[in-house]
Amino acid sequence: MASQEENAQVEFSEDGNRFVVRIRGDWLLGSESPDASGVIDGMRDAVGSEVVCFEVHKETHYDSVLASYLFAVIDEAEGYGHTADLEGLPERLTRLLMIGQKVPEKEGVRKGTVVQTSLVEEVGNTSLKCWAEATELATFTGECVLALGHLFRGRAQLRWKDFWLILKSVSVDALPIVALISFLVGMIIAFLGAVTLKQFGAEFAVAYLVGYGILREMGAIMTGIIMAGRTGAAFAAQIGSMKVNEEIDALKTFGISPIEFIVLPRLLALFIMMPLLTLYANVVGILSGWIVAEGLMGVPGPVFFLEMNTVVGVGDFLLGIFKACVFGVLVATAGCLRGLQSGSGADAVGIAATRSVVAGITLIIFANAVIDWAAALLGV
Amino acid sequence: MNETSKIRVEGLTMAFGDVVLQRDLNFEVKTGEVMVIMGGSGCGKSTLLRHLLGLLEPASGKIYYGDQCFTEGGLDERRAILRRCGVLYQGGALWSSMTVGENIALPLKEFTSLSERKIREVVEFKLAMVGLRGFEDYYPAEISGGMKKRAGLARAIALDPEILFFDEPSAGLDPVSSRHLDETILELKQSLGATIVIVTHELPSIFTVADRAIFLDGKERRMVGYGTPQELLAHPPTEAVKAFLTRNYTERIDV
Repeated sequence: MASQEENAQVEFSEDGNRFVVRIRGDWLLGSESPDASGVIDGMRDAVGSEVVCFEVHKETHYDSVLASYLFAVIDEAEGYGHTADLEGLPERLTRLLMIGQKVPEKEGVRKGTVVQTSLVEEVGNTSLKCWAEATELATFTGECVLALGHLFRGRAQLRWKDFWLILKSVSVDALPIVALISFLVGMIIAFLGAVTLKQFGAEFAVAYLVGYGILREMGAIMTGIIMAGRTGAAFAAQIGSMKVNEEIDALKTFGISPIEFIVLPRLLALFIMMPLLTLYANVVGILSGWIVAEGLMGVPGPVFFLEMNTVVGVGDFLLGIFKACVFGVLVATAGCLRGLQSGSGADAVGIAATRSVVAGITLIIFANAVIDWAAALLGV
Repeated sequence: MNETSKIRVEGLTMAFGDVVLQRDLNFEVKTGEVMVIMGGSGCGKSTLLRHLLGLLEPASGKIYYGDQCFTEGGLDERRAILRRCGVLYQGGALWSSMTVGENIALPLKEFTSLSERKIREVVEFKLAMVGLRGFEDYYPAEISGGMKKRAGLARAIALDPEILFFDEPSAGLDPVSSRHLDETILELKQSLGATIVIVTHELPSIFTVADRAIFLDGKERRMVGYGTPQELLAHPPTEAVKAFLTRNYTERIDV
């Protein structure tokens, strides 16, 4: 057993119509050994040989590395029309090789190299994909509207227990992070005002900046972005894993609409909670703006709030709340749709979650621009 | 110390919190034998496997690999022991971001100094051994459940393990594939000289492949049977074992 360690060696020679491969040394996973290319080249040159045979030195130590090697050689030899003679191999090795040769390779199963696509083809494929995506979105929206119709007629297959759980997870559980972010955003807006307004001696106007900034824009936007990252991604991941687990299929086969059962509670929960969260974010943001105004710029509290009250009106507040409702629907839609589109596998669920966040944030910013434009035209 | 014992379990108690799953398990797996862990659903078969692999910590008791105590070993000792083991998980547990070939190549890259080309040779052979020639470039999502399982087996035997663990190898396979897998297991035992531990509730598998078997009773929460399947069938130690091995459902049993 304890013989000298020896490097793996292979020699080959032609002997009439026989091509003889001689093996010796240690052929182990833990050591180094030659790969099959040498012998394969030799075999290609040996035009006269028809049979490949092997001689394994009796002090050879081997594991499946040698089997893999011989397997590759035999495979190649048979490709040349040679026959392999396994006579000279130890029994255990032959047995290993036989397991490998039991199931032949299926025709055409191996993947070829990827064919380079032309630019035109690429453009075409991308357009088709975009079109498919658009129809999918339209279908999804339509189904959601139908589901809402069912809900109002009291016929939706919705589990209210789920709804309350989701409602909690998108509201109470989100309060700390919403508070933190809106507190910081309020401060940032006030700092921005501090730097610019001081130059004009108009420190009191920081109240307008904070009031407008938080109520019309940042309150809703920041809450929307937090919810896209927090809740939209969670929806996509949940629904994606449900899909991997065939839970969606199970719903469908019972005749339960996945839209009503899964999407509707999430959509409703965000639609209801986004305005409330935004209201909360507004309060925190304005308070933090006031702290900076009072602490850094010396604008007293009563002045701050009085100034704000003269310029900023209920319309601004309502605009922000309206935006919040829209963002809520967008985030829920992006999350649920991406989740339902998810492929199977751990990767696919991750991709679905990422795409839901990207889609959610993009939609929020886009919708915000549209609403602002409309508001400017209408003079709100 | 018994030289031929590969795995020895002494007084192992498995529990989740206060809920005891199995109490005081004692058995050993001899070198080169196929040991089947059987029992009804929820009796702790797979949990026992997870204890043997160090994925769960025992509530009490010890597990030895050869002379080394696994449960008391440090991280490095445990890793060294586990490197001699191969595991086939229930669903294959292939890493989904890698192709089948890369899945098998990963342990080879990590733990051997073989060249790229050699690794490819070994990967090809291992895939051929499980009847999946030419499937290197497929992602796990692109192949069927049975194929995933076979690819998982190819990964499990990548490093020529001394001990192979199988968790429900035939679950989800058709009878022919399942039979083929049983044959492959036996061939692996003979050609690699591996010791094999199988968790299963498939009767044909138990009788074809098992040298010895243990039976875990989920209701009594202890091991009630230990012996060759034939012995257990001839002299079933409890009604539950008898019912299990003869598929006798006439009496109400709680396993």
